[in-house]
Amino acid sequence: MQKMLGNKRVIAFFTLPALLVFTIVVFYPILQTLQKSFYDWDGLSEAIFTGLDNYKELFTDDLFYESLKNGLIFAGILVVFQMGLATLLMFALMNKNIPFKRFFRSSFFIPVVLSVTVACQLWSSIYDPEFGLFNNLFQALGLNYRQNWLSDMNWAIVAVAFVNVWQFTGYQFTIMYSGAKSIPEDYLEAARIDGATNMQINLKILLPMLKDTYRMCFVFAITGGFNAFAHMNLLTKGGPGTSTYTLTYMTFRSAFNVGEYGYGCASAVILVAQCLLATFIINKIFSSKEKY
Amino acid sequence: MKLKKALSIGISAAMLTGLLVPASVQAAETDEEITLSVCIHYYDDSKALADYAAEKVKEKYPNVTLEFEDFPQDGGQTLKTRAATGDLPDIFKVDGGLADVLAKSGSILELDDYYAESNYEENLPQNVIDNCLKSLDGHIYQFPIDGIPPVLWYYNKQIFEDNNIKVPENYDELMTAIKELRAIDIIPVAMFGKEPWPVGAFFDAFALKENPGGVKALSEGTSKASDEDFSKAINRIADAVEAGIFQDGVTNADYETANALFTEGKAAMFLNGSWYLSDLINNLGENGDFLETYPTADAGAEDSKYRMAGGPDTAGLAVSANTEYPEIATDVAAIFASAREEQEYSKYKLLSAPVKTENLEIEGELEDVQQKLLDIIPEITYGSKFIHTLANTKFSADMTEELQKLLVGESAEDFIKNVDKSIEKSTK
Repeated sequence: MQKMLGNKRVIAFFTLPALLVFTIVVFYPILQTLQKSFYDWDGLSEAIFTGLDNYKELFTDDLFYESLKNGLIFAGILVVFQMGLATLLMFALMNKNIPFKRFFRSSFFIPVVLSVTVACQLWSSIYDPEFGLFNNLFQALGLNYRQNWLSDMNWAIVAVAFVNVWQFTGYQFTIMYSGAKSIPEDYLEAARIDGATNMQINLKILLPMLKDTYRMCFVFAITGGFNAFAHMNLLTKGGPGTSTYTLTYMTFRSAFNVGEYGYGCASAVILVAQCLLATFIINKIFSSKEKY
Repeated sequence: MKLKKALSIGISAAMLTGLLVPASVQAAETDEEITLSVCIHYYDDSKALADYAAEKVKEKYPNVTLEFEDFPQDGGQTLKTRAATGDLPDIFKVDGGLADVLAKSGSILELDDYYAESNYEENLPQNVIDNCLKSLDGHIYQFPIDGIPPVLWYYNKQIFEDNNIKVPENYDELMTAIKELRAIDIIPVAMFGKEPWPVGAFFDAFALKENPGGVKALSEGTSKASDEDFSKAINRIADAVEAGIFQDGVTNADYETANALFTEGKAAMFLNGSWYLSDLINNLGENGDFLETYPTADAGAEDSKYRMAGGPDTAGLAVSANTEYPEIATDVAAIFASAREEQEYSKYKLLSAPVKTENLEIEGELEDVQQKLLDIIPEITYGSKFIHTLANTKFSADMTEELQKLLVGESAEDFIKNVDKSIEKSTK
């Protein structure tokens, strides 16, 4: 084995195919997007080089800032509610006294395996202001409160984000729970013998030891928020107006609705940069020499 | 009558088979088995129409088989992608916006010569020749289908009669009707605001009363939202929205939702194209009708009575530049479009079908509401366009978004400010 790993030709032989596929499928399109962002291009005709014009226009476009803001709101909701809920569920299932763990574990994951279309159709019905579950529930409880969940310019982005929270909390939970289960039971047992409460075990042992797992969860939640597209496309089509636009949706609009592919590529480049920056910051925050 | 019918069939057959065929196409006839792909609406009545037209093609080209693909209703995205990869169907439906983009990239055939040689225009009504043939670059790229449909303001007679509410004929009466309908818990107008064109048509229903250019004039930069006439219309829309003209969640409602509200009697009025007439008859029977004029103008404003939203577009059947058989595909597209539209007029009573109708007879009796439309069609004028077919796609997207905001309570002032900003930016 040692001999084989020392042979650079062997290493190249085994890694090159994967690298080649990665380059073609991921890296080349990103480079092409970057290149096209410097062009005025409708996607079909000959592209005209315009230098930084697309970026100059982007930074003066109100829609860009609204999309950016919505991405941050979406990511914030995912971090607080999706990760928060997943953490609570993980704590609960790590508790020895909780029964039916297998049942709960599977139940939490059910929404994840649903297609986004099915989830959105379901929530579209729940949010419906005339016939939906929420407004009728308020009515049944005698509350004089009705809400246009998806047609309110201020709250639509929150309503859309919560559909994502509902659907993918189980995913975050699974990652966290798997991480928690990989912590040696001896540590937890020792803490219990020393008289630690469940809360102390959760906060002082589980959380610190799940640092790398949380790093990954943060990356998923934040970049997932910035990248959000499918839920708003199915639930609101970005509306009302532009109130549920994210940068991904803006890219889609520029390229496919308006026919400005070059401009769409520029917003896509900013999106990629934003995600890379977020990942870098998360890695910086979570990197410490302290190892568990 | 029999003689007239026989004559009309004879003329139609002659036009389809002989007169339309230019010399270049005749030369291209061959016995080789040819399969052409056709991308067009292909479900329910549209399927029967396409199959009928395919039979007509077979009469002239027994060796040509048409393979249908259902038209993807995604704003042209699929077809644009297929154009980029050189994978367009031989013949396919385009609207004005898509035709312009594909023409610019050389993805579809220019049909000027075919039109000149075949005298295809002789089969088209003058308003179609004037408004629906030439693309932005002045050339022809399609054989018109589906015609110039006006957007009609439908209403449920029974709701108005049962509740002793006057059917609105002008703006003041509309506002009164909204108030009275809301008082009995009926939605005044059902709207499918998730789609762009209905909100654009609603805007034009008000704007056209004040300015014959409607949203098209704004998109071309010849008018501004802050102009007195547009400002008046916009403020009226904002007032109607505030009074509760639409159902809750209007910007999130699709066609099925809005149609269900209207046909189940939960909404009193409904905006849709003239193609909805047969559904109206099926769903509401004699209780279904449409307003002869939009109730959005001052009382007595006769000059704007028949200005209608909707209107002309260069929509039709285009031929891919990559087709293996350009001459035959072009001729097939022409025969197909002509036969389809004649059938659409005669059998399916599409009264605005883009064909000359003097020699065509409608099968069966027209319902009163259809006769009403047939009577007013010559009076209708179109100064605007469907919002999604505007040449200024940037403005079209901005305007649709702004209109959605207006529909959920954005102030008229903010709307005017934002639309003017978009006009300035997109017409530079």
